[in-house]
Amino acid sequence: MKLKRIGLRTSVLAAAVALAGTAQASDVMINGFASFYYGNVMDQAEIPDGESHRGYSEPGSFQYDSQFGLQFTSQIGDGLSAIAQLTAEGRDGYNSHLSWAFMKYELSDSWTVKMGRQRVPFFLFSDFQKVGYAYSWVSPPNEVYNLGGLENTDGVMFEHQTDLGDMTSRLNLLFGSSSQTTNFGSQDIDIDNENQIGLFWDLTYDAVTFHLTYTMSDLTISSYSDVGNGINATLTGINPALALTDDELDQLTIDEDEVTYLGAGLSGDWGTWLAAAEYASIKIDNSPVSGDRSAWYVFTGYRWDAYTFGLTYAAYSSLNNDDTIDVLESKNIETTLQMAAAGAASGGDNFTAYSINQLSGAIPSVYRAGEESSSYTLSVRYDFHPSAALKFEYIQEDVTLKPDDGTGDQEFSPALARLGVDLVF
Amino acid sequence: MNWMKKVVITTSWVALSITATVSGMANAETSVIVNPANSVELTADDVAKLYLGKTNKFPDSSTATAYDQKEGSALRQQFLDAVVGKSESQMKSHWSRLIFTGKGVPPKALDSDAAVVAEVASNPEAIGFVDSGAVTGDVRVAFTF
Repeated sequence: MKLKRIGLRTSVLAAAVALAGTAQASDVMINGFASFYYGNVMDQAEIPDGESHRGYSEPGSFQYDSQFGLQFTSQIGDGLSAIAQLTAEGRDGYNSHLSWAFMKYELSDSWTVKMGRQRVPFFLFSDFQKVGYAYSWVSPPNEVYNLGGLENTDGVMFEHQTDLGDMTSRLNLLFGSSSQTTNFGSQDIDIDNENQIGLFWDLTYDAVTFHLTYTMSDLTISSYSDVGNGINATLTGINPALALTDDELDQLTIDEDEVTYLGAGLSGDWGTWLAAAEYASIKIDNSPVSGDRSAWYVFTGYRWDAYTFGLTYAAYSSLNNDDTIDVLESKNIETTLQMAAAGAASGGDNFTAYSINQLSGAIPSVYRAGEESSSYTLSVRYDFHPSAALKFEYIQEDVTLKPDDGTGDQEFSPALARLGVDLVF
Repeated sequence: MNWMKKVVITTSWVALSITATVSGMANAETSVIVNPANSVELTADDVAKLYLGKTNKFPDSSTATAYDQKEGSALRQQFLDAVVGKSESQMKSHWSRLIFTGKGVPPKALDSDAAVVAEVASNPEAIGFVDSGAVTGDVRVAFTF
């Protein structure tokens, strides 16, 4: 995958150079956005995995939500335009990525087509999720908006816009796929999302927007397949009779599993008051996670002079897949692996013991990662400059980990404070 | 004064600001102007939609190109407040949503009233807003406030 990344970066540079080169010739508009944030978790002991919470730990740091983006828009004429967006995020070591690169063509007064890499409009704020200046939070509620790398897709989007009386309807149809490597901690994970079909509908009336999302795709996540296949190979090595059936293996891997996203949202901005509420449900068939995952939030905000005060309540639930837990327990997989590792170690085969321990060590975070959480967020935005906003946000969260391994639930109450600036230029 | 009725109905607080504007600066009237060839009747709502990027067409379906004034000017603040119903930073926030999704390009800001009048006078698609004192016979006033 390393090669692929280098290739993408080189092409990003080439695209940027090409665009810059034509800037004088064909009127390329360059717009930028940036965010610089400091975040600090109040008590390290309350972080569920003991390491980081929403990208931060104690003491605090400046990286996770800090970012820089440049967008190049070229209106070529006759309804044709080309748009590219380069972003560099602190959470990714400020490596630049070509987040978007698409051409847009107006087929008629009401139909538009976009081809290329683009953002998937899953939720109300998804389109401009990275542009903090455009909303009052530091970032939209993580419970709903954290898609773990599926935010962008490569494909074709047809958009139909029409007026229905006093309402405006915008319907988007997406056909796409995405393939990417996302870095989770020390591990690179390949995520392939193929045969993606999406339907997104916005209905706007005066100050109120209603949003509906439905998408289907085939998802493959390498880490789950790696662990599932590793477990099967180890069991088979111990005793061929222990080999998993195809159905059992399917419950331990995410290999072309069908994913369904459903989302609904409502938002309003009446000048002084603003409000939003969204619900999202994700279902992955025969997969160790997200057999039953849902999230929602409600937000209300109040503008006073140059300040916007906001209060958000959000909840998230991602339970373990009962069928996966059944496979682990009916096949006694965890105990079998531990015994095999101990056996190998006592026989002097430290390499095998190490490998098996790595596998069994991954089980809690891969197959027993059930979790429920809820959070309150207090946010303050201060427009101190025509192009910049200072923001402070405090998130108090309650997290319950549900490993379903007989040891009981674990509860944590992490709190995160973030302070920083969003700007557009 | 139909447009005024509409503004008052749409957002009652706008009425307050209009009253304040009228009583405070009786002479600082603002005109929304179009090309003389453009005979379409415009309400404040129609104009707001053009400046918010919700449409790029006049009510008669002809193409419209809106021109803005420089950020920070009192004229622009009054226009946004009375016609569009937004503050300058709300306007910027609104446009950042459109720009960074590739959905639109904001109205181009011209340097002065004279530049807006000149553009509108020469471009049948153009619409702008200027201090009423800057209006010449080369443009048509759609409405004033």
